[in-house]
Amino acid sequence: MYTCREIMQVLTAYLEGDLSRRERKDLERHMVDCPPCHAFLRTFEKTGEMARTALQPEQIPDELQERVRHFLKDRLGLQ
Amino acid sequence: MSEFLRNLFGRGKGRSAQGPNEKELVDRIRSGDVEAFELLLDRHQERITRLVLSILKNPMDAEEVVQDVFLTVFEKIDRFREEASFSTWIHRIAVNAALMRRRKLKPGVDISLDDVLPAFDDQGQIAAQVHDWSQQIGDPVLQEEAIGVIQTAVDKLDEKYQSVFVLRDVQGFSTAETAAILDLGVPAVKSRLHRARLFLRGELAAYFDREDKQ
Repeated sequence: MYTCREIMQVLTAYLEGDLSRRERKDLERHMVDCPPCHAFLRTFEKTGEMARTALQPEQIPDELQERVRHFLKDRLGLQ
Repeated sequence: MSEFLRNLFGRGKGRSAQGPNEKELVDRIRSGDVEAFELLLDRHQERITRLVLSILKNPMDAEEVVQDVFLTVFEKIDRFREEASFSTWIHRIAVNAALMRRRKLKPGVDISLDDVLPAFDDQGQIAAQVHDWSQQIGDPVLQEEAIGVIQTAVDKLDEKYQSVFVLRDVQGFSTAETAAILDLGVPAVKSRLHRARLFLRGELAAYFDREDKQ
């Protein structure tokens, strides 16, 4: 059985599906009996979801793309 | 299978529906064909810009780095060895260039597990309550502030964690792809990703604790 300390080490492995079936069951059983670990897991998962939203550049400015093209055109003789 | 994986594992096999495959393009660029370079630019410019922008945030810095990346590709194409795919190679150049620029701007912080994990008792059990703030994210005001907290937190990360986090969790590369781009082993990628996620969760937890005390 896992201790809470061990659970903290394998949260990413759990979410990525890297644990064996038995390890996964042990972890999930621990979560049922341990509200602090369950709260930690929920907030850990939520952090990942938020980070994906927060860090994805919304829109790459067209002007930026065009300036890069223009620069390379000058330097390399692109059409 | 993603385009990246096709390039990674199936390079040089056949001609894609969109035109010459990357091996053919590389061979043509090596012989000085600038049109082939333009095709390559069409395929990679947006994704490379997105990646560099995720690391640097500032579009002006990103623009200069993307220019340098493609100049480097053109000038050093002879150094490309086909043990890796072209996609891996160009992404590696882009990550390194972005991190080098970032290094000049600010150093990151290392992650101590003691700082991002709860306190444990002698039996390894959590010794204090853990606040479950996952439902509070639904509040639009808190969500907006929390996004700002995450952006600041990622910026604080040391580059060895930030590069893994950006490639894996923001750009959506698999663990194997991230390892190939950064020239790391898969276990190292997993370990760094875990620490980066723990650090970000810790920063968000500190933010929600402050909010609750107000």
